[in-house]
Amino acid sequence: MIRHAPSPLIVAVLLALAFPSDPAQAQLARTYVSSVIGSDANNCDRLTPCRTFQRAHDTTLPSGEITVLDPGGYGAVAITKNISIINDGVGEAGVLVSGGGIGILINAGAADAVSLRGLTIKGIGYGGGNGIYFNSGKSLSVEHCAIRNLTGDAANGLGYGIKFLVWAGSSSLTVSNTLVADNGFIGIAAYPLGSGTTAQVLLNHVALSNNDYGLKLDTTPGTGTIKATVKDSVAAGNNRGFHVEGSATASLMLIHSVATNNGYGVYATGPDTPPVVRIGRSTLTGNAIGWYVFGAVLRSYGDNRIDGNGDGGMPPLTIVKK
Amino acid sequence: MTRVTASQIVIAALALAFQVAPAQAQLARTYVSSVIGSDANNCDRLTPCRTFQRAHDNTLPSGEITVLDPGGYGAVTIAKNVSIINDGVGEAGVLVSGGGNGITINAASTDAVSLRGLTLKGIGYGGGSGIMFNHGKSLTVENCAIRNMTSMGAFDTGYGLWFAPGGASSLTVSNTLIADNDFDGILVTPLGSGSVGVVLNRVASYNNFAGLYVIGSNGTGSLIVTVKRSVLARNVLGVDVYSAPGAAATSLMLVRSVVANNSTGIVALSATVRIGRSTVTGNVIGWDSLGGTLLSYGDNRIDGNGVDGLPPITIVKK
Repeated sequence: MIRHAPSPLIVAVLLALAFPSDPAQAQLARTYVSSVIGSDANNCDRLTPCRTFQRAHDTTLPSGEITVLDPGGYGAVAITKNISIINDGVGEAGVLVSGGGIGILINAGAADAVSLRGLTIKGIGYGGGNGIYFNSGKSLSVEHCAIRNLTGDAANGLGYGIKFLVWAGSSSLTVSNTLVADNGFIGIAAYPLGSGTTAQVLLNHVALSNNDYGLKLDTTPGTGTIKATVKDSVAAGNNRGFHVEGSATASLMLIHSVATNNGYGVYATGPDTPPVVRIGRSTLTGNAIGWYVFGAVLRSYGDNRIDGNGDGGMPPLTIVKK
Repeated sequence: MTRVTASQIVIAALALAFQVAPAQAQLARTYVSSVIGSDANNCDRLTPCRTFQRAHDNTLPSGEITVLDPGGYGAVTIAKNVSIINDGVGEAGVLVSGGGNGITINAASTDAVSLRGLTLKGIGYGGGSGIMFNHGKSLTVENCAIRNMTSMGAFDTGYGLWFAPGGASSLTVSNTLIADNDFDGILVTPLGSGSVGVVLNRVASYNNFAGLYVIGSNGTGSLIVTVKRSVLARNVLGVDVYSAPGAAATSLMLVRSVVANNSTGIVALSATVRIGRSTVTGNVIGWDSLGGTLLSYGDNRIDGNGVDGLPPITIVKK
């Protein structure tokens, strides 16, 4: 006669089915990734780190941090909360981008600050892609990163190093000590969309090299505002170094910076009321055209070096320092 | 039959006397590791500790704590001359919650304290502050990042770095980022009659209430602040310098710096602010002198604000 009491084996099978492959794990304030001992089956703590940024992100509490333990590739990640991804010098923490995808996508809440430190993002072709794509959030801070070789163009909307969109309210982008180079379309682009939106942009010690556009600030997709400051930065070898497009609500203060070997060093254009570019203690040299404005205003503090460009370097209108 | 010797009894008695936590000699250099560290260790190179606090307690005065590998090392209260050094091994982190401070400094008035390469982040859950300095000869903060400190509404938490020395003291912050805090990025409020000096060099302070808030009115000494090659952006107040008649004589020199996209860029109240080769732009109000004195070397860019503010009084370079 067969008894029907469950055997230990059956209990084990039932338990396994109840918790199939991905047991619900408590989120941690700090998670870790390792390319050596990491596994996405882990809970991402120090001794059992995860393998990918995405798994670590999903296992991190809001306002928490992901700490990189060792050099490696950690894969693309979509960020949906306040979080920091921190590589503080353990070696390269890399993300390769292809297939028209995005290295780091930010779809965070309106109060969420996101920061990325010490990451290397590189496009490898195979359909191209974008490096960092900011869709929503309070702020994005990019520090000590390198973003390169994203392929694409205006036609397919790819080839951005950093694409910063503001759909509502005000959001801020801060990039410091970072290299953005060899991208098919735009190194760093900011677009406030719709109306009443503001993109606040600050570049500090940023190099924009060999892109189609180095920096593009553009309010024409909507009627929003851009308030940008660029200091101690370099645009070199781009078709357009520093590009501002839109209306009087777009402004750029460019100080202690260099634009060299670009098609246009500084290019500003406005379809209606003119955007304003101010430059101080900066150098425009070796560009085909040093600076060009069409329906825009460029003001110099009279302390810039604008020489050695193909167009002879007309002196811009000056404003007085105070 | 086995005889038990007297010496064996002595050894057993000694073992009992030191069984749980043997008193350990303090070391001039201690180590922390998040991999092999344990606070039951003596914190030497091969048997490191797990937390900053245990390492601090086991470090001789004037000694150093060396970080061995990336990880979180917990909050620490510093009570002596000590350096905590992460020189690029990866993130050395401290998460802050429960209304506490990441690093509290209650050192003696002859003690120099230095912090290098640390990342402090607030995670909510009651909020807190990054660094709280109460007492000591000096504090040096280098290559650090301090973010996201939250407040529960009271003015006791939510600061990136709060420097409130009870006596003469100095603060130096360099190559450091302070952002996204509910209240001030850096708050300076000396309490005593001593002289206090502050230097910021290559500091970025953004998305805070005040980027830098200097309050001399709680003390009666002197308060002299220099800010160089720094950025104060997108705060409600970029730089606010405040004192009161009869309180500490308070002045701030801002050079080669950028004050951008704040609600108000620079505020001076019963204090003197001098600015040179700096840029004030994108603020709703560029600067506002509320009974204070704003002096310019005539080489600043103060444009593109909603209201630039009255042209400041110029002083001559020498």
